[in-house]
Formats: sequence, structure tokens, C-alpha cells
Amino acid sequence: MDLSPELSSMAEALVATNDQLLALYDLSSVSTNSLDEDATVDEILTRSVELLSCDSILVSTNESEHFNGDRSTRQLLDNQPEGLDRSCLAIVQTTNAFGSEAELRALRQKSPFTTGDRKLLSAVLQTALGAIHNSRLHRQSVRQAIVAHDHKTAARVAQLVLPEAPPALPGLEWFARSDPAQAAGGDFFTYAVVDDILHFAVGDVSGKGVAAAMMMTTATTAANASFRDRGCDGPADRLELVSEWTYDHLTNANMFTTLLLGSYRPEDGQLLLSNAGHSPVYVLRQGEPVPSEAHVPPVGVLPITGPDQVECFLAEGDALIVGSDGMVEQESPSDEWFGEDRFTALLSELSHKEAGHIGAALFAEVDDFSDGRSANDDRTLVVIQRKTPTVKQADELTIKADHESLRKIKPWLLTFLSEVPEQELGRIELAVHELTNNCVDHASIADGVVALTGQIEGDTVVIGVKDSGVEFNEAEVTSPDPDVPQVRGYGLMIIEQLADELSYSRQGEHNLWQVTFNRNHHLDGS
Amino acid sequence: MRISSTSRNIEVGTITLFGRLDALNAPELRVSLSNHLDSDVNRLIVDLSNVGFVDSAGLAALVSGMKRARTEGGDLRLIAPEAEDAKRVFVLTKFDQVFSIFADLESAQQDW
Repeated sequence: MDLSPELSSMAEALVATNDQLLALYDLSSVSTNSLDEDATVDEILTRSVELLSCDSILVSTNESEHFNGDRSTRQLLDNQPEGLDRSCLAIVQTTNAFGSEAELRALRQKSPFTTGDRKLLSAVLQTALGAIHNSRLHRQSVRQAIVAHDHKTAARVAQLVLPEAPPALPGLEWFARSDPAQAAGGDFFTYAVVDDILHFAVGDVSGKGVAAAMMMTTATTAANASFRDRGCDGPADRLELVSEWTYDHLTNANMFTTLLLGSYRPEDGQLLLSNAGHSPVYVLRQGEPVPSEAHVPPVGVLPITGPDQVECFLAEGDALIVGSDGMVEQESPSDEWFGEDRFTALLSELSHKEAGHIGAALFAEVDDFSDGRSANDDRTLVVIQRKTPTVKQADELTIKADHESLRKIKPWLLTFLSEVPEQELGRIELAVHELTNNCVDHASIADGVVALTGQIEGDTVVIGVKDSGVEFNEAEVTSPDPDVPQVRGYGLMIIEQLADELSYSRQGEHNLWQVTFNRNHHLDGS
Repeated sequence: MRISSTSRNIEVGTITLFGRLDALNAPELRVSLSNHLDSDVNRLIVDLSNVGFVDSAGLAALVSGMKRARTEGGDLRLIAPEAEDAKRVFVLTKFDQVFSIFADLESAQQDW
């Protein structure tokens, strides 16, 4: 029996199968090389047209069409006229996992499509759809990443309006912290010290996320502007002004903000508050938390005109505690609220502590209570406590007016600034060293000595440098040109950058320099 | 302040300082720098890695040496101090952007 035709046919079939496998491998490598939909599908179709010797291939999905081949055959694929040999036309349809329909049409006029060709065209369609799907997922993930990045940036920019450093004002202890529930939050606090009075604001814009954060920056800016408005006589005036500035903006955005505006005068402990719907607000007096009620609804609900304000006087250790609802409305894993009772009980327990301790302890308690449950809302707390600064006087240091004696300055500073961190001490030392060196070099000191005095008042360090030299003449001092390196003249420039204040006065036959450092400002490493 | 002065070859002078560089010993540094420059060594490296404090007088001595070295076609390069109290004056006066400052002697000597 002659088996050669059978063997020949089987061999051809095996070769055809092998060719198709190689073709599939070729196609799959194309689809993983690029994430650009048009480029990838075009490449797949180009190779498919070559592999199958087609005139053209058209792939259509709900959202796109990809055609490759002889353009003159496109109409044949679209219209499929009656005279067209159907064996030369292949149509493959499929529905992907997301329910989208897709179709492939191929035309090969010189020879009919075999069953194997049609299977390969089905694989082409699946490969093309896979590439389209990958490309769309990639585009979507890129878009999501851009939006997430924008949200993160907006949140960071919004939070920048909140002051980081505490107020530089003797006579108060300050604690302030705001933790947004999401990346961006609507809670805020701000302050300004004007004429030795602390003006402050604490608020909570309705809603959460980026929209609340954007409105929060508006409210914070308005509050800051009101602190500088000389026409205002107190927090009530400022509240009316902030309402006037922000009411339309809030109303148009369908938002509102609670807002507590206040002022604190360390000189006599006077505290003034005007409250537009903010809570919780307590005055901790003699260990007893006394609630301070709102005077008017939140800003943006109704125009505010002539709001009331309350006045009280803080005694030593008394404190104002301003939270936000995220502090008292935090839920535990068993759906229990933290609540104002727990909040006030804690205030009573902590009343003898300093502001920083009270604030940190309240945050820790709310955190413990949540026991891992995510924050219900932004959490904000501001504590303003009356604290008379302790004054510590250093022994006077008298040194010879020469360069060798300048080295006695650091050991002397250490006698009363031993608790100051090393970096802060380094800054103080350089400024005092430069100031004293200026006296040695330029004052032609009559009695040949320079006297240094030191005083710490709360967080403020004041160093006095006194000599009997010729009177300082500011007109003779020229600031260095930053673009031209020069050999001299950097002493005062250095001191001015290191110190919070530098003053000079002529007292009788003496020059008296006074340099002031606020430890919360320049000396925190910023 | 202790000064250690060496010459790698006739063209590059290295001055290593220890302790404080302040108004008291800045004149000593000026003399050392001048000695090198007077000997036609205008490529200078001052090693500040062991210096704990620099004031404006110390800075002035370095600036003076750097200006003369550059005028004479060379330069005065620094090996960076490690102590914050020594870095501060350079940052405050922006001279950290004027001097060529290197992490170690080997990198300071490159290209020379």
C-alpha cells in the first residue's frame, strides 16, 4: 500500500501546525513590547497580514478600529458585496471579560482561508484585544497616579498655611497640632503676635479632602489678614470681618466653617473669645474645665453682624483648650464615641500639667481609644496656657579686650546654657563671639575690658556686651556685596542672621549691645 | 590651632588645621598661606576636617588667600569641616558657594 500521500498530508499538517505555533509566538512577543495601543495593534496586524498572506485585516472594538493591508480592499471588508467569495473572507467575533464585543475581518482573495487560518485569526484577535486592554489599563493607571500625585501635592501645599513654630511671646505655653483624616483636611489654626498680644484662630471647614483643604487656606488667610487689621477692636470685630470676606465664597461652594477667634494678653492674662459654632472649647481654670459656648452659627451659614465676645482672665497655669470635633467624635472599634465627657475628665486630670504635655496626652488618649480604627475626622488641638517665664541671670563675664580672651565666651555660656542643645549653643556662641570681636577690633576700648551679661527668660536668651570704646557709628558700616567676595565686613551680617534681635545704645561713656535669641525660632535648626 | 603644612610636589601646597580657626590664630594661617604664595605655590588645599570652630576672622584669612591664589592663576581649595560650628560661618556668608570644597584630600587634588 502506498502511504506516501497520507504521510505527505500528515507532514504538511504538522508543518502547518508548527508554523501557526511559531506565528503565535511571534505575535505574543509583539504584544508585550509596547504599551501604546495604536503602535502595538498595528504591529500585530502587519505581522498577521504577512504570516497569512492576507490582503487586509480589520479589528473593530466598541471604542476603536485598526486596519492593516491593501486600502483598496477596505470597502470589501466593510460592505461584503454579494459577488465576494465567502471562502476568502474570515470573520471572527468575541466578547472580552468586561463584556465588550470585538470583531476581526480578514480578506485573502488569492486563496481561501483554511480552518487553521481561521483559528490563527481568532488568536490574532485575542492577542490584539489583550494588547488594547493592557494599553488602556496602563493609561488608566497613569491617569490615577497623576490624580493621586496632584491630591498629595495639593494637600501638602494646603497644610503649609498652618504655622509650625510656636508664637515668640513670653508669658504663654503653646501647643498646636492638626492631623488631617485624609491626605488633605479642613481643620486649621493660625496666629499672629501684634503689639505683644497673641491673636489666634481655630476652625473646621465642612467636608473633607482637597475641597475642604482649599477652603481652609482661604479661611486661614482671612483670619491672618484680620489679625493685622487696625480697625478691629477684638475677636468679635475680626469674626465679623472674616465672615464678610469669606461668606460669598463659602456659600457659592456650599460650604461653611466653624471658627473661634481669640486674643491673649500675657501682661495680665486677658483672654477674649468670639466663637462661630466651634467646639470643643474649654477654659481650664483652677483645674476645672469650663465650656465656652458658641456666640453665632458657623461662618457661611448666615451673614454675621455684631457677634458677641467673652472676656476672662487666665491665672498662672490656667489654659484655653480648643479642639475640633475629630477629637471628641472618634469612634472605637466597638462603635463607641470618645465623647466630651471623656475629654473633660482628661482635662481635669491633666490640668496641672504644661500645655505641651496636655496636648500630647489628649492626642495619645484619642489614638489609644481608636485602637487602630481610622480617624473619623481631622483632629486638631490648640492649648494656650498662661505661664510666667522664669528668669535666670548669669554671672557677669569681664574679659580683656583681646582675641585670646574671646575663648572664655563659650565656657561662660555653658555656665547658664548647659541645657541648650549643642546646635543652639553653637549659634549663640558664634553670634556673641562675633559681637565681642567687633568691640575688640573696632572700639578702641579705653579701659581694655569688655563685659558680658546673660539672661534667660522663658525661651528667650538675651546677651549684653558692654565696652567703654568710641561710639559706634552705623554709617561707617558697609554691608558686603553678596556677589563680590571680600575679606572683611561679615561680622554684623553673621550676627543679624543668627539672632532674633540686635540692638545698640550708647549709655554715657559705654557702648551697649544686646543680642536676643528666641529658642523656638532661629535656634531650632531651621 | 595646630598647623601642619606639606607640599605634594612643587605646585600644590596642603595646609592641615586642627582646633579652632578664629581671630586669635587667623594671622598664623595668613602667614602660612603667604609663605606658599610667595614661593610661587598658588595651588593650595586647606584641610578643615579637624577644625571645630571658624569665625569671620578665620574666614577672612581663607578668603584673602583664595583671592590672591586665583589672581595668580591658582586656587585655594578646602576640605570640608565636619563640625557644624565650623561649617556655619561659610553657609551664613554664602562662601560655601564661592570656595571649591571637597570631601577629602584625594578629591581635592584631582585635576591638579
